[in-house]
Amino acid sequence: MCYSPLVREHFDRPRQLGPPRGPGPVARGLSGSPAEGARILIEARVVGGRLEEVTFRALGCPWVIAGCSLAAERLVGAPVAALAGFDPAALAAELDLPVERLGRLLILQDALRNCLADWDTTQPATPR
Amino acid sequence: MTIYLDHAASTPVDPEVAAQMAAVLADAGLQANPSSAHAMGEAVRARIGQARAAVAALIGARPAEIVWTSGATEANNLAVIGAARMRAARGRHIVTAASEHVSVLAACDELENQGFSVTRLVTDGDGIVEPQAVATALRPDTTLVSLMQVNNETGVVQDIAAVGTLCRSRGILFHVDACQAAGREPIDVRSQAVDLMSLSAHKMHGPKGVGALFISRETAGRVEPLLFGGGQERGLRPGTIATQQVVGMGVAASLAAARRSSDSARLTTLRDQLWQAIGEVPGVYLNGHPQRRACHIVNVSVAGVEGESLLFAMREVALSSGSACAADSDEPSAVLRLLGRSPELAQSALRFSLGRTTTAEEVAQAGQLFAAAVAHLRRVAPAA
Repeated sequence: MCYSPLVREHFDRPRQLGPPRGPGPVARGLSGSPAEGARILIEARVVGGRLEEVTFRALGCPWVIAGCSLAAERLVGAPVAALAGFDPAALAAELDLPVERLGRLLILQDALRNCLADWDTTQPATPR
Repeated sequence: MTIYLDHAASTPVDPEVAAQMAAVLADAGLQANPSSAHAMGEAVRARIGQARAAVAALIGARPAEIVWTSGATEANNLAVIGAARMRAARGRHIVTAASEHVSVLAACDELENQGFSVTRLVTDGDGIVEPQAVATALRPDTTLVSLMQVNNETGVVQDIAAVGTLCRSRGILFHVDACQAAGREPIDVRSQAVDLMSLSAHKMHGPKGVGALFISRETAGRVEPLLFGGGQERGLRPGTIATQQVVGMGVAASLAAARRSSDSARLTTLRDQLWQAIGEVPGVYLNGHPQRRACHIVNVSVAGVEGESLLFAMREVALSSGSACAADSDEPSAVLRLLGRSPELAQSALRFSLGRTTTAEEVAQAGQLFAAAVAHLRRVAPAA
């Protein structure tokens, strides 16, 4: 397999490795399984409706690890609703992901959505 | 500098092999067609004859029993399909193992498409095909049994002589894929009662693009050609013989025969050192029988990591995640699934394969890189 410099960088030095370190409530989203090619845990600490900290843990191929690292890094500081706005196709293009591996980023999308759903369930009174 | 531990996929060409191949290519007296009747053709035939004798000597055969092919894939196809078709009037049942190389399994698939019946034996949890399991699978219409001596993924060694004796007693042809065994394991086609044996030059420090099929004198005439168009190789493999390639294979075979004992002893020591180093990492499992395995392969599964990422994290070492021939596949290894490994453990398998140029320092360094890569990926992975 041939991996882009961006994939290499985030695979070797993943950003936002979990768990979150700061204080406050944390929402969690888990998705996938080893049999599906990836298992991803996203954790987010939200302060004042914003993603103060977003971390990940992932079992998967280099594209999965790099994709989680990039996505988590970019979500920091965004409104909590941004967890639902992840675009797998855009990240796939950025990572030069082979088309047959796109399903791995859909698992990341599910983990982010599950994280938002967890936040909505556990913190219903908190504004988005 | 990358550490090359992928010798089961291909071995570096020995400098002596390269030198003699280059000499053949540069020798104006060796440029004729070996089928030509003139003196220059005769000179080429003589050089090819030396190579044929060297390959024969490596496995205890006679020179006339060696048929050149383009490699082991062609040799396996010629043996399995050629022998089965030729004996179709006597029976249309073939016995092989589900852990065989894909070139044997695909040849069997093709025979099934042509109305043959194939029994694919399942190995035990250590990768062994027991001779008794072969005996049980034999039928009155069985004409061919095909087994590999050393498995290309796990390095597990089968009891070839026992299966050969069994087949001989029943009048059934016995084909052995010996690509991983040649130059590493003892081979003697007479005492092992082998009728057909496939060999590959590039698995024993020879060039790519050339192999050989041993067809015993008693089996001659019981194998049908797959190619047509010329009378070379007694009509079994028509086409102009690639002089420099077969000379290269001959030199590689001579070196393999001369060095087998010393190479095998040295590689066994290095293999055990490697396993000792990587086996210390928790959650690492050796795939295949712990004792009945070849000197050059260590295949492990690693809990809690993904195979492709492990391979990439260890990119300073050239390794395979399984068989090189299946490297384009995203599927877990079928061979490892036969051992009872879960899809996750089969998917996380790494094959380390050592060779003549491997050093103790490289083995130690590979062990350290493995431990670091596993630790890195387990830090990144979520709790199970």
